[in-house]
Amino acid sequence: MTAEFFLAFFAVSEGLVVVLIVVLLIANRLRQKIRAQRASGAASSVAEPMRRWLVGMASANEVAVALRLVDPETALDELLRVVASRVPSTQLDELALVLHEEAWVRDVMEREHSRLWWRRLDAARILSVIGGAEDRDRLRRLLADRHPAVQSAATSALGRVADAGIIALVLDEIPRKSFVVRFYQIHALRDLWHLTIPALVERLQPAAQPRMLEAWVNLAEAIADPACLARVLPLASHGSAEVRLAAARALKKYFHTDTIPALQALMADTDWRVRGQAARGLGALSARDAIPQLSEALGDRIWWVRFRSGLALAQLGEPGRKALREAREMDDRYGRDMAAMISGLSEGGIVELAEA
Amino acid sequence: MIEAVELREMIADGIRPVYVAILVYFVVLNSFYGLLLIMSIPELWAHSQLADDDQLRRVLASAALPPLSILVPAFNEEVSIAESVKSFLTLEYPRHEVVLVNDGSRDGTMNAMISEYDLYQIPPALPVAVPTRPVVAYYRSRRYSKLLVIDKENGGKADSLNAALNAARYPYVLAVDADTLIEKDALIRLARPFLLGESVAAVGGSIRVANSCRVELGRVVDARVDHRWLPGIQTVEYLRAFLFGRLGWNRLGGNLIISGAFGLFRRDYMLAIKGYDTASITEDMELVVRMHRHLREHSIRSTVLFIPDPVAWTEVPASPIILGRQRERWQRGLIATMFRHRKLLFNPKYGTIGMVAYPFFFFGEMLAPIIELTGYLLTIFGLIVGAINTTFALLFLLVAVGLGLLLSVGGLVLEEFSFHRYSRPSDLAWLLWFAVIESFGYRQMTLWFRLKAFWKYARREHSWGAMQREGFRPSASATSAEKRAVESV
Repeated sequence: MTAEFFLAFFAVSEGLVVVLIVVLLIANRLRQKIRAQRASGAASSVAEPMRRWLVGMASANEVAVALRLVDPETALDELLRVVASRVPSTQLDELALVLHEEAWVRDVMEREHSRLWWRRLDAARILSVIGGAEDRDRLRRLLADRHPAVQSAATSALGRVADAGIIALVLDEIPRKSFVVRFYQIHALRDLWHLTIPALVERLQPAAQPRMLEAWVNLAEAIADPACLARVLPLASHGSAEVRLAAARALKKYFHTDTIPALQALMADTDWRVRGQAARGLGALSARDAIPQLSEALGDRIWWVRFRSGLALAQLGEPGRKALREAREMDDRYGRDMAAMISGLSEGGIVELAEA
Repeated sequence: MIEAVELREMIADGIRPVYVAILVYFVVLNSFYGLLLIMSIPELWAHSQLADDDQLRRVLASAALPPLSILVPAFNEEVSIAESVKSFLTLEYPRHEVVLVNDGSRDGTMNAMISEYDLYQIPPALPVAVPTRPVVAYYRSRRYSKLLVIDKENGGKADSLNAALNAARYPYVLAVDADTLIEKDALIRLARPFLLGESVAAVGGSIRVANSCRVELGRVVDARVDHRWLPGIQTVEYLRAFLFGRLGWNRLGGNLIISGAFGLFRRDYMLAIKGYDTASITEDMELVVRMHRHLREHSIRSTVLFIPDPVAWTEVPASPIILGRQRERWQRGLIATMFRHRKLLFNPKYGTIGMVAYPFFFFGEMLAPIIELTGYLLTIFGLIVGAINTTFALLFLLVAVGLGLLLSVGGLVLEEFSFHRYSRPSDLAWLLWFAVIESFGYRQMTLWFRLKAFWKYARREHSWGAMQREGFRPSASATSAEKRAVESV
């Protein structure tokens, strides 16, 4: 074979591939058009029974029949759309019961074993709509999936499955999750407070690993249930600064007589971040008893503590404002400057900065 | 006396090894491009799945998103600056600020900002982590609390970005050009890798060509392909570069370029490497290469990613003169960056960046114009002296053009099967047409611009070259819609 023959063969092959690609592009355009029309038709064929079911004029069986006639992807999308419109849980339970027996649903659920994460995602998504107690093991596996998108979707199914064992598992794994999954799981656990609180209270022990405790205290902050307070308070004197910091941050959510003394004690913490958060908490809880400590903290060696203390004083009404005015005469130059700066802020500015 | 035939044979023997070397280079380079194309397919598929996932989008749009600062350098942008800033301020994102730096503009950029945004001067109480040219004043807006404006002495784009980096409050910074049109949800998409817990130092998004697109309130509302040859060919070029070039690099150890017009970075890493290099004329590439070095030298397991679905639109040069200035500057910046960081070349200490990405950019991008020119000259010379068979030369040219066409069409296929922004059938036809004609004239023209860069680099020229823009095409209803939007903000 000569070089010329090889080049000619290659050039012709290239030409053929380009022509094939062009044909493929045109065919794809046509396919997309047809698919869009079909999808629109399928969605509208499902929409009517769904609408009637939503207003109680059709049974779940009619919806199941309509969903059976469209492809699983469209059916799944339509189901999720309905959930997004917040169907009452009793009505959804009825639909879930019927759909659980459908072949296409079982097929989508079996995708949890797929090597492709987006297929596993489909399994997690369908669980979030029709999952039940019998899907416990499946949900457990999906929550432990290596892809964060699957973990997030599986988190949406926690409410459907509502199992104390799985809640405990989520609690134990939460510190190891990526930021977005952790954020999403905290929200889901907060909504499932009746299952979460007993498991959380059990875990909020000073002897637990600081990394785990930090995540659990953050969850206690989100839930803000009095049952957790008794467990969070002792953590304010924990050996780990990170745990004390999380506790200081969480305590501002607990309007309780025991909270303010704990935060006052944290104002003397060796870690400036804890002192800053304690000052923030005292401001949020309108702790007028803490005015002397907050005034003193205006002279703290760390700018952020002075800033947070100043803001806290400004949140305490006239007595706090008075303390700020007095602080403008104090010996400490930095404290004077901070008091002057905070005094110059508008009410709106105080609120915005205090919540930032 | 040597016979003519013997002389011809001697010349043919002399140039044959060079010719073979060029052929090998050609085959290796194109095979690598093919590899990038193949590598980009699973990446694109995965990203399009994430981009389409409504559930994930809901989570991403929540308060889970980290706050970020948009850094906008501006120089002589009086006409468009107010609208550009407004489009940045109104991006869909739960918490972001805009830090605009007026880089000593000689027109009314600063006055336009003061009057449009009701700016007031604030004390210069911001830390200076990266030294910059002196700042004249800092301003905040009475109307938009998330706007900070820095008026400083002229120091160039990199210097302005450094000033903005110093003043940024948030842990992530997005560097953009003042005339970049960012899609409304692009920030949410761009932050996705950070949120999914991937170990990422920087993320780049797609840049697309906005010429001929319909623009309303600083956003592209109707994507169209420009029918003029220069912007049209660049549309194909951008699709190819972003959709398979950069996406393919995600699987081969990380990207060496993030466009300066649209890139999200971790601020702490940027401060650790002292921000942008003010001596570089392609500060975006230099920054990313330096960041890779920093990450490797400090054993930080973070990468630089490209994700295709966050889109920003930019105007590309429509005249050969302006295009020439741009491409010559890009090539000059590439040469400077390659030589400055030559320590990375085939250095296993830098992992795949040192062993794959850097050598590719060194030989496959930087030296490509010289090798291509040598190939052209050698072919012509070989044909004149009869050392090369005419049929062989023509067939080789055909194969080369065909490979270029295949790669361009590959970019179009990826676009068609993933994000599908150009919905009109006529746009697809135009894109195919521009992919075909790219090799005839345009390629040789850009080769000339890139060769000039070597000459200018050798002469140590450091100019940017003035860039003139035509402006975007507004929609008929833009003016009234703009008024409504401004009133409602």
